Amino acid sequence: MILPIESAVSCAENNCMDSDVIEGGVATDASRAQGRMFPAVRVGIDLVHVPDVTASIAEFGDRYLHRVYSPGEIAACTSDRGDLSAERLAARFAAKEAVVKALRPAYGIDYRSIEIVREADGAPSIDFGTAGAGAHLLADSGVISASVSLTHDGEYASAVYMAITDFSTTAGTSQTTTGAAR
Amino acid sequence: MSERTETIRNILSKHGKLNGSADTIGEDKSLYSAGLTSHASVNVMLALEDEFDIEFPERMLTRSTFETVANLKSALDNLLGEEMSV
Repeated sequence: MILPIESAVSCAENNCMDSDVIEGGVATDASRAQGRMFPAVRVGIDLVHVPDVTASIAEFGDRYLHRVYSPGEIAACTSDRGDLSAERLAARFAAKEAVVKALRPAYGIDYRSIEIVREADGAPSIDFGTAGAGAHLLADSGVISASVSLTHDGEYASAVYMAITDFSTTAGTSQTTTGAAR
Repeated sequence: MSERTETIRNILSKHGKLNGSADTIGEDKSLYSAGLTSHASVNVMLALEDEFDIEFPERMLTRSTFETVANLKSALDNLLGEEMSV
């Protein structure tokens, strides 16, 4: 059985057998034919050029910031002196887009409904809210467990989002938008 | 070329970060294949909103809206038509 730990747990809950093989979240044809339910793995990644974020702030100012980022995200990317960190904003944008790429909503979604927050231990996570497109996306995608990781170095920021989803839930087939770190 | 389409192409030239000229790309050719990034599409959206004094609603914030010049024109026609009928 080839499974990450979290998938293995979900698989056990769905009565998979040790002989079942799931690679990259795809069940074998034989086990699918037997009607078993499997988790699936979805991964999204995005890379953002930090100077592009700097340019957007210069060109569109608050309109750019408040159309893409939540108030909490803007605060998290603002220093005590009031300086915005384009690197942190770029990493957050990458994380939002990574979520979109992984979950592939079939409907429009506002980037602000995919909010990058910090857990108590400092690890980043995604807050999809309790209503609105973000919450719908999370529910529609059948996410069982997920993790996000952000990074930036020099002119580039990147993020990876990985989710384990209920195989019985089918996310949209594509189409989403136009539009965080340490 | 309609005036609206010309405006779209001008904005794509300035904000789309396309690999080639926005003036010559086919109306149904993928802008993403031509170099449009998700972040650049935000700038295109904001520039179109400024130019036409509109706001893209959430239902239009899809990848397909920004996929082609034709789709952007259709979205604008839809939004501006809606405004005129109010």
